[in-house]
Formats: sequence, C-alpha cells, structure tokens
Amino acid sequence: MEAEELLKELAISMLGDEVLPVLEILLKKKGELTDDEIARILNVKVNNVRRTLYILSDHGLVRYKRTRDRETGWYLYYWRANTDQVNDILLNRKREMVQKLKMRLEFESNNTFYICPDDGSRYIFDEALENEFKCPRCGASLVYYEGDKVKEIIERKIKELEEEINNETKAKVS
Amino acid sequence: MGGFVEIGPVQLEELVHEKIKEAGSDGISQSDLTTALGVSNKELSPILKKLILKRLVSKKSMKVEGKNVIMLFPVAHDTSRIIVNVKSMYDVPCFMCNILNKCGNGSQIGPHNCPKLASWLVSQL
Repeated sequence: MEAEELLKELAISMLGDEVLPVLEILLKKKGELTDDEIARILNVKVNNVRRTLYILSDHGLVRYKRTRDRETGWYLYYWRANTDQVNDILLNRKREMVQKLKMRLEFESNNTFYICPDDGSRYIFDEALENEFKCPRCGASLVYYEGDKVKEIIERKIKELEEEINNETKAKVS
Repeated sequence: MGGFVEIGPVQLEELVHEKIKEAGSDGISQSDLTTALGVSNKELSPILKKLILKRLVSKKSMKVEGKNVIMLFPVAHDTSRIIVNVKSMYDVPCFMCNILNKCGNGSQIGPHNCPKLASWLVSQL
C-alpha cells in the first residue's frame, strides 16, 4: 500500500469521512497550500478548513509551516500532508499500542475475574462480590475465570510489536 | 474579439510550475522561463518565491559559460516507502482507534475497560 493511501485510510478510520476532501487536496497538490487556497478549491468556509486541518494535525497526518506576510503582517500557514513521515506516524502508533497493551496486561495481572457462563460477561472480584457472585444481567451464578490465556495473548502481541519496533527503528535510521 | 486571454495569478503560478516540471532534472534558467512564458522578471519573481516557499520548486545559482545563472528545478515528491509492518497492527483495534491519544489518560475509556479491546481478546481465545 502506498503512503498516500495509508494516510487516507488512517484518516477515515480515526476521524471519519468529513476530513477526506481537505486531505485529498493536500495529497493531490503534493506541495504546500494555505488554508485560504484549500477553502477556495473546495468552495467551503475557511473556518471549516482550518478546523479540519487542526484535527488532522493533532493526529500527525498533516503539518504546517508559518510565515508572516510582509504586506499585511498576518501569519500565513502553509499546510502539507505528512506522506514523507508516514513511517514515523506508524511507528509512533505502534509504540502507543504497545503502551496500551501493557496497561491492559497490568490490569489482567492485578485482578481476578469471574465470568457469566450464559452471556460471557466478565467481572473483577469487587464487582462480582457486589453482585453476590450473580450475573447482574441474567442472574446466573458467576464462575471463576482463569485469565492466563488472555495474559498470554497480550504478552505475545506485545513481544511481536516490540520486536518489529526495534527492527523498523534500525531500518529507518540506516 | 479574439486576441489575448488574461490569466489570473493562480493560473500563472500553475503555468510556471508546469514549465519548471517540464524541464525536469536539467532545470530551466530564470531568464529562459521569462522568455518562454512571455512575462517579465518582476512578474515572475513573486510567483517563484511562492513556489519555493511551497517547496514545489528549488533555485540554484550556477556558473554557465562563466556567467552566473539562476536555475530552477522541480522538487521531486516521492511517496515514501513504507517500512513499517502494518499487518501486525491491523488486528488490534487500537490501531484505528480515534481516541488512542486520550485512552487511559484520565478519560472514561482506558485499556482496562475498552470494549473493543475486550472483544478482540475474546476473539483471540
């Protein structure tokens, strides 16, 4: 998959379809465009374009360069899509994913769980005790749940992602 | 009727960019560009400045037959090669999650109670 396609897919999944027109303009034009120029091309209000650009920027999908207009003294923002930084975006995301998985692993390790045999809902010990070890949804008796398998799955994924991060960071530097 | 058609600054900017792109890696001198487009240096300069600022064009001063000539080159925008394996990321719901940067940092949803992460874990059992 090309960087442009991946960037678009990430944008749609994370932020929804509404950011796509602005991102597509930046991808199509390759270089940099001001918010005014984008608004003119799309025939929409510049405020809407700015808001979209800031959202895209928050997620690292676009970046800007700021210069001052000598005549008016106003700041001009030149925006571009981060196609050249797509590997950094993905690596950062992978690192964040590892961090979240580690947090989940800690939670799994520090708690004991009870599960409803009928609907499969899971409760930590305190919740199960509060409900007298009965499922709050269907009333079935909760049974002790062995969480080792879940921990194994998380540990395996963390290992896989961490190994990839190491290799890909090295590959990026060389 | 007929005669010349006036073009606006945006169209002229596109035209200048096109002409520089046509020249490719050989580049085109600024004076040749003014001749080719029939515009003055005064008209061309601000457009070039804008294109350089937008990183669409680069400018280099070169010596040609003992004279200093300003050469203009198109900036190549390569779609960078993806070296990061995304396959291993797709199956974990965090990859495409729109609140990943807020997840667990004092927000209501965190890795401990995320329903998407929970159903992914169940699907892996």
